[in-house]
Amino acid sequence: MLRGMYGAAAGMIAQQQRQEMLTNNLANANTPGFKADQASLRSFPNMLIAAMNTNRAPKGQVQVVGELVTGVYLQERMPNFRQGDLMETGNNTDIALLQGVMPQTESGRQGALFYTIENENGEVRYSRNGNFTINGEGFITTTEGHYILGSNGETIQVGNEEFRVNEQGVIVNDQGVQVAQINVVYAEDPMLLVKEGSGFLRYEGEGELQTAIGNGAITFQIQQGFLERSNVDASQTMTEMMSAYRTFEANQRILQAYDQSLEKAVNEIGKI
Amino acid sequence: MNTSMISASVTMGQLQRKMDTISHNLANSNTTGFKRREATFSDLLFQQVHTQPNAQNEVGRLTPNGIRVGSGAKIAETALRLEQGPFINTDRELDFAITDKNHFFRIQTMENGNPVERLSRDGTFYFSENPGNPNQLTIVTSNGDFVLDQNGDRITLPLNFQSISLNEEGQLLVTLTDGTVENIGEFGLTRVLKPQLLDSIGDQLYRLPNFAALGLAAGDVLEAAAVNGRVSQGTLEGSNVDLGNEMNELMMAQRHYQFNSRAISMADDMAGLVNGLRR
Repeated sequence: MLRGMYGAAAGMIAQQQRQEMLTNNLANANTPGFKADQASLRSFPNMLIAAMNTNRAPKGQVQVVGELVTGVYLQERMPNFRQGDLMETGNNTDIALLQGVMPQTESGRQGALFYTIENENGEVRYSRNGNFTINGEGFITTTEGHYILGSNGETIQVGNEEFRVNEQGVIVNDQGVQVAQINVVYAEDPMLLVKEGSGFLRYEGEGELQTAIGNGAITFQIQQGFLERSNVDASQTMTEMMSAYRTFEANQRILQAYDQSLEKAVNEIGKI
Repeated sequence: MNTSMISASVTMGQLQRKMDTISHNLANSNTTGFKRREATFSDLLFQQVHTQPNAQNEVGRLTPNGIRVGSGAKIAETALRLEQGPFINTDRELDFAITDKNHFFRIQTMENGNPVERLSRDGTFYFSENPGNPNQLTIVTSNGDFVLDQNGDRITLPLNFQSISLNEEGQLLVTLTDGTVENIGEFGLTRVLKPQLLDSIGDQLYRLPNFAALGLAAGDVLEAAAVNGRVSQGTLEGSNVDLGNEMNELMMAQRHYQFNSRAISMADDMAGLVNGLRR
């Protein structure tokens, strides 16, 4: 059998998955706080090929031909936690999180900061989407009605939209009473955060993320009246899509070439 | 199946909604007392796909095992933005503008033959004959709905009036033809604490939801407010739609729409290549 055929087919599948990822990035180019995914492609483990039934190798040994790679697959989709641009909206309920100095990590990758949100099952989720709203009972929630948590782990009740948030996230309501401080947590390895949709990120590491408030090594700024835009770069994504498409096409051509070889094998070998 | 077609077309549908919101705002950029709406996006569910069951075979991975495949974006909300519109001086004695954010006139309209109370920021008022008493006039909106006073009653005035004015205390004073001045009450103003609960029903009116169904009391959402300098006579409040901003949003939405349609055509070309495998 022609081994390269599977390699070409695997290449097509991998490029298609990459295309799907890029489409999703592009679809979320206007989603506040969205972090673009990046694909990492990995080749299948190498195979060692040996020739059998040859008389070149001494008896009892096999003759090694060499290594062969049979294809590629999309290993992972890593979100890029780079800061998105801030856009001024003037709405009191739009609160952007701006990262400042981050501590050095062992891996050399930068950590990231997040808001904490309680989902409908009472579990803690993380998000960068600062497009909030006030629900009927006067709590700060996401646009889908999930509570934003304060630094003491409690939900935040401000009453109405006339509240102020300072740069450290301290919320003062329209009566001038300090209500709470928006919790900001630090993820040393943000790669352990898994996207769930609706801007939610689930932490897959040990325990929960620790608050960044009062941590001297971390600086951040909270900006009321601003939204953090998606960090998807549309032109880069289109370029990558074109390259994914062309790689897909190249793999398809290879597959066709194999098909032609097979056609010859079927129809012309042994033809009298 | 190439899911990029699905996620891109779902997103295009949602973008169409955003453009609908923008065009509604643009259409009302000259409507008195109009408040714009703003559509914002949120990402759709992610699907966990297990590619490699044995984590130890995945050398050098940074993220947890499996890949998360997203399915596009959706409109998260179309939030009502209540910032103050510009004041337009008309010098007409029945034009009133509310000068404080989140405050509304109380308007009585008919729904299924029953009088119901609605809210409005449009202060273009007219006189109309009081259906209950032909010797009186009432103040109505441009649709003929009654404007209510602070007690929730229709504002009435005698037929032989000469002029109407709003004093600094917020009282409506009517000067009659014989020179006497009569106080006919105050405009009923309502302050809305949670404007996102307001429902736009057209004709510049806003309806309030059923509070009991939401587990709320009316007092959590509404507050009666005194006129007390919050209404200015002879002026109208223009629409708070910023044309430049809306056009910018429209352009971005349209480009975003194009990007998504390009993604669909690429996915289609890829499907074509797959079909072309066997000639």
